[in-house]
Amino acid sequence: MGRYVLKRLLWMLPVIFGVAVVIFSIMYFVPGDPARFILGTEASADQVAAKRHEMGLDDSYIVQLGRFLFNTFIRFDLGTSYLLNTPVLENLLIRLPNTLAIGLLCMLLQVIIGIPLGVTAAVHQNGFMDRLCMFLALVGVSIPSFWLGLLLVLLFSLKLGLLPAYGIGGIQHFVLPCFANAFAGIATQARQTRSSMLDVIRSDYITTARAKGLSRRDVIYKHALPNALIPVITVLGNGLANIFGGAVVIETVFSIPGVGLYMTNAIGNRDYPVVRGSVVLLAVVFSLIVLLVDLVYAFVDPRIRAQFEGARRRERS
Amino acid sequence: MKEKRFSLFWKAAVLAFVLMGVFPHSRLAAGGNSQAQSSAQAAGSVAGKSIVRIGITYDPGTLSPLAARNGGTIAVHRTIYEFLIDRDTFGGEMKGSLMESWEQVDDLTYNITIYKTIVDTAGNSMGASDVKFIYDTAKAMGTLPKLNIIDSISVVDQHTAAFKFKDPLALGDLEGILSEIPVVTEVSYKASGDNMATRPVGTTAYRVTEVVPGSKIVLEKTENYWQTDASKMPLAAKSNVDAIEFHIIRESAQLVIAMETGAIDITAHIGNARQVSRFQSGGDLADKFTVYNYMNNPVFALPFNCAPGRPFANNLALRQAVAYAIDRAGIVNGAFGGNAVALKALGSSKYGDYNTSWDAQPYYEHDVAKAKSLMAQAGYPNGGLRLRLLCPNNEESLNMATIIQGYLSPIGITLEIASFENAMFNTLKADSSAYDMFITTYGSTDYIVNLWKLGLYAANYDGQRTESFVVDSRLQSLLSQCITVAGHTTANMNAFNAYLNDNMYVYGLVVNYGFVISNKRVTDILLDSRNNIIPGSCAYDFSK
Repeated sequence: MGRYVLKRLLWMLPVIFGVAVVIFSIMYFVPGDPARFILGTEASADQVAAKRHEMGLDDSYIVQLGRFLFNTFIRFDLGTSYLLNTPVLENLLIRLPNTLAIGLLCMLLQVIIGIPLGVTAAVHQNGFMDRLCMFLALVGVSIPSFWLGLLLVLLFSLKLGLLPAYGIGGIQHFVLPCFANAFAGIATQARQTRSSMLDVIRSDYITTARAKGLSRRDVIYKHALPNALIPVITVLGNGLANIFGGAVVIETVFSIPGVGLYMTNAIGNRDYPVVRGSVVLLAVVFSLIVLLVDLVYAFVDPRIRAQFEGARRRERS
Repeated sequence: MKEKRFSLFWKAAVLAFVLMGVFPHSRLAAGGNSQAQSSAQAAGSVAGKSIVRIGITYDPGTLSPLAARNGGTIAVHRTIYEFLIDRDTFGGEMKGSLMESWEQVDDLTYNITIYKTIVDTAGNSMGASDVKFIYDTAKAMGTLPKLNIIDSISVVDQHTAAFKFKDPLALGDLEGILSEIPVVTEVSYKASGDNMATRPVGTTAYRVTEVVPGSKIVLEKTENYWQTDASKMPLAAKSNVDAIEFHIIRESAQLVIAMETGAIDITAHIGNARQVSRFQSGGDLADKFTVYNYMNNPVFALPFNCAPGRPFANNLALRQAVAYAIDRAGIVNGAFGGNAVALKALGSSKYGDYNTSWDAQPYYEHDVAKAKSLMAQAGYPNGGLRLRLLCPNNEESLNMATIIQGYLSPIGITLEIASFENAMFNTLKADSSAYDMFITTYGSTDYIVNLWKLGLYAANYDGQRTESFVVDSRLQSLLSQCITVAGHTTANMNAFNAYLNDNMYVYGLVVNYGFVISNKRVTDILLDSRNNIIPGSCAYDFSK
């Protein structure tokens, strides 16, 4: 297992390298002049040209790319924000916990609400609970997160005064944003769980388990659910992109200073170091979380764990 | 069974520990609300201290005095830092803030003497060397083009610095330079370690006590503000409240909710007319809030692309046809819900050097028949002209563009609207093949001539053309006279305005109103020259 993890970590390097090259290239070719943006419309063409030279923007693509890759991967320096004149890495590390908090809490909500919802629907197939759960799931995938967020604010902050409407502080500040961002994912998880459970419930070994006299609870949670979780975990992993992408919208609606908002502002301002640095950092975080999700497969399914260990034994022999 | 419960307990404990670790701000943000804003907090005072909470939509990103100007920095800087000079009102007389006196030595040199008793909130005294340091540092950074007119700064004595300029100054240049950047002490700037990005040290009556990046900035009143002579204090130097909190709220709907719940006391950043109307007379929130309105500095204008080969080049009749076709009153009502004023020139009466006699002069009042007649003169008797309008992708500009599109249709012009985000918009403006006209704003913090300079002064571009590619030496000659101190006369201003109107290179559309909304605890407000709230100088009644 250790070798598998190490191999995956090493494979991350070319992935992140590729991401860095792609984002650099995109920002290089996107129209818009950061020097003009910094100096404003009053600056003359000569002033703008001088500023571009100072910022290294008049160097060739290869030179700029090489400089960026060297600074990022050798010196671990993501540069300085053109507009704010502050180190990008420092600002990202301040903001990353907020984005991670939203992302991880959303994943947690998807697991603790979506999976039981799907199990309930599957166990009561075609019954009232099934229809109710699937109706909620349909509503969940249909509602935009920003709209839901504002509705939740109107209800829980304005009308009931129970939760804060914006900002960061204690965990109560994350309740509404995470729920708004996770709602669609909860719905997707519920639907996937229901589908997987229905497949598994019809299996022979489930019939055997029932025939052996095991309790219903044991049949569902000890035998059916673990086997149904593989596709569910896959969906959870794939949903990461939606979670972190949705975090940008949620951070704006709830004024949470996260990486998404930082990056979005930088895109509009053509603040290249911030955009590049944010994407590279998110790529690292994303890769690590996907690795963790993959490791969960091994935790859940002993067959996959055995495969990892079997590969190691084959290598030794 | 016991083992399972034990295992579950440890899993829950680990999860709780992880969650605590993920929320660093729950421990660090002393000002963070631990519950929804309560009536106790909304009372505006905590433990005997008066607090005012300001809602702003822009994140400064950095509190450095030398940061490139953005909506966030200009909203908070005046509370943290002081400038050499300041104005008490928009367009009002400049008053020394850190500067005690000034003297013109020769055509290019001005001696600036600062007060001898200036001390920053860290206890460091300020001298002329600090003035030289901050201006030299700002110039070297190259992010403030206005400073390029400075040739050098030297220290004359402990409290006097000599500013030497490269050329004789134009109107407003000296005031602009002396109010361009805040002055801080060199020792505090270097001691901060991050150019004062998160640890600013200014000289106002307030010091920053807490910064939650992207979320909140908290300032508390110091008890040892250096300026003890009230008669010498600009209005912006007052300290009528013990603590000030700037809350960064990005979404305007959230700003409205924050006002309603009492999370903030005052904001100048609710610009949507529909949202503002709830707080105005007749609205559902009118009895709990006060709305102050002010005319904005920037005006909306429609420059015509006169680059060679474009339809408007050398075609005065076409430019005038478009001007007559547009009903500015319709834009006032349609795009701004009545919260705007149609212009009668390129500029508004807010500027002290605006000549109110221009209001009585005709200025292309809406006349479709005349517009059609001019279209025929322009070579389009049957219409059939296709034009491209460039505009930024904000709500106001898009609404105006749509309305203009509707007005041009009856005279035979099919208008394509091309809207872009700001960076792209500014890039495309420099491409004469990308558009035929564009919607933009021009503004200044002092004189209308500086507003004119923004779009029409060729020296700001390639020395020959204006922003919209107009090459007209007479236009430049008339403008050049207006912008000098000696030439800034009514006659010269009238001449330029008349020439601009006759040639219709730029059509002044409207100027809109901005709003400051406050709860009843705020009894009077003070805005700076950029219409940002100066919270320490507002008046309060915390008994309400």
